[in-house]
Amino acid sequence: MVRAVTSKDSYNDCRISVENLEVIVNRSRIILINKYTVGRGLHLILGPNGAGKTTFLKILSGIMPPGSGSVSVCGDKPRQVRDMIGYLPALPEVDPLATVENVIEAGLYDSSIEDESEAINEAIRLVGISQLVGRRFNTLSSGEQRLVCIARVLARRPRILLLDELFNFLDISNKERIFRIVREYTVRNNAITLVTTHEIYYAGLFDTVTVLRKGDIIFHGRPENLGEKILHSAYGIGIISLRVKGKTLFLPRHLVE
Amino acid sequence: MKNNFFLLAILPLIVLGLFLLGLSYGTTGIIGLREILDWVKGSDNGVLSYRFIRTLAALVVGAALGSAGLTYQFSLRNPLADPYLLGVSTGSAFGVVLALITSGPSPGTVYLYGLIWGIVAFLIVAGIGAYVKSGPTSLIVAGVSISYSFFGLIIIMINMFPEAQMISFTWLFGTVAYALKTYLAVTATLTIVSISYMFLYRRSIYALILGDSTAKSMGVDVEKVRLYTIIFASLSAVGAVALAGPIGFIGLAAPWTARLIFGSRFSTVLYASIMLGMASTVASDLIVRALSFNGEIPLTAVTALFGGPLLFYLSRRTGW
Repeated sequence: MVRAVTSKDSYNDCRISVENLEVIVNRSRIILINKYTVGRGLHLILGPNGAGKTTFLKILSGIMPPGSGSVSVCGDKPRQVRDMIGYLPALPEVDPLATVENVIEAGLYDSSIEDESEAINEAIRLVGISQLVGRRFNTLSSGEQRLVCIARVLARRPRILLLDELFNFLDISNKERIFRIVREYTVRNNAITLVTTHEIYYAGLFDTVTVLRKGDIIFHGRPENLGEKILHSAYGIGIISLRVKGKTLFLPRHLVE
Repeated sequence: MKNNFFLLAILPLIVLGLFLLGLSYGTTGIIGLREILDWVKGSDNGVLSYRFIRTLAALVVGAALGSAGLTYQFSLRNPLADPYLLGVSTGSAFGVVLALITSGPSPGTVYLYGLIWGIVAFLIVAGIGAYVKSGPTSLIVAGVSISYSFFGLIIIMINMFPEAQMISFTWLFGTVAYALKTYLAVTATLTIVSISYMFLYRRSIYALILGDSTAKSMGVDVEKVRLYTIIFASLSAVGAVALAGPIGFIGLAAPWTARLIFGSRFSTVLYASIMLGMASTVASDLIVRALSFNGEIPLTAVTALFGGPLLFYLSRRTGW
């Protein structure tokens, strides 16, 4: 099975922690986070469009420099632990002529993986895209492209997964499958996995949920403590919660009224 | 994409075969293998010496265009990019026409002006690109705009100095017929330096196909790699244009064909693209020799004739 690369012995204590992070782009404040700390597990970040979710993940993955404040991933700056990070952008920006194998192989840049072809094949098997091997990226459907990009992230065997809009373009069965694969990977490898999505009904399946609004954290905690009011104040629409088999399911109110 | 080792392995043999044909075949008749071997051993043969430089020039230009085109495609993440996209060819062509007008057909001046003005055009484009700083698209827009401006100047100059028209015409559509040893050596050096850079940085260039943010998340210094890659690719493109004029299609068709057959692993497809660039330029020059009844016809006449349908076919195959 896919095992993550360990570049630090003290990994089990590894945390992502952010303090007094402030990001200002073109004079408007995108992010203002006083404190955010998570350890290993599955963590969800919710928030309306433009709340700063993507910017937050870009800072944690070292793509964007933090404006001010401190960001540490396993005790280091994100740029110093890049071989441990697997980043999935919300939209693919892949060269249309690249093949499925090209995408996964190019994604192993500067990783500490020794047997590259084994890592590629394992990721292809894990995500279940062997039927797409040999196809060029521009001949795939959006959902298939998404699966290839997810396989690209997993092939790197990261300890930190930063998955922006994980469920984008996936049909309901692929959503379920990918969620299960990511959860199993996270548990097996003691990984720290951050997911952003607009599928609020997934909230109950995560270890922690964070709700962002205008760059601000308005909720951070266990999903059981998440309430309709918080989601309402984040999204500005009516939200109802349903209790099903001991789990809380959030839905936009307009679906049932 | 699995059983391509055989194809990859025979590519150099195809290039070698075409090179020998380039020595053997020409307007002054066919030369046999025995005579070629005698010439290799040191016997004098003016025709062979000429054909040798001419064919070698075709090889070098093909390698330069094939590698530069491919590298542009990767670093600009645009499969339609070719080595002339950022204005080096029109800048270089402007320099050559300027040289032809001011000092007549003196090979040294023509080459030097071609080289310098190609670099000037590139610097303007790169400068605009750095100033705007918003990714590959702004570079492409800057390149296309500068190309048009130089093209306008070329047309005005040719119109003002009709005596330079004929030679400008042949040169503007590319030919290896007038390549000289000294300048061939300079272009070959530029091309080798450029290809060495591409090979050394193959993994960073490969990672660019995933898009800027993914590449950055893996530690690729995207802006720096893109800038250097474009500088080195442009260097060999300018060398090719200064030596043989802006030969069309090779720099687009060779990388495309290579990527379609061999996929897009950068190192593999760089090799394939160089081989296909060399093979197609020598083959085109052989056709030029067969068709040149009234003086040399330009190479682009042949590459365009075959390149047009080929590109259409490739685009159908690619699903566009």
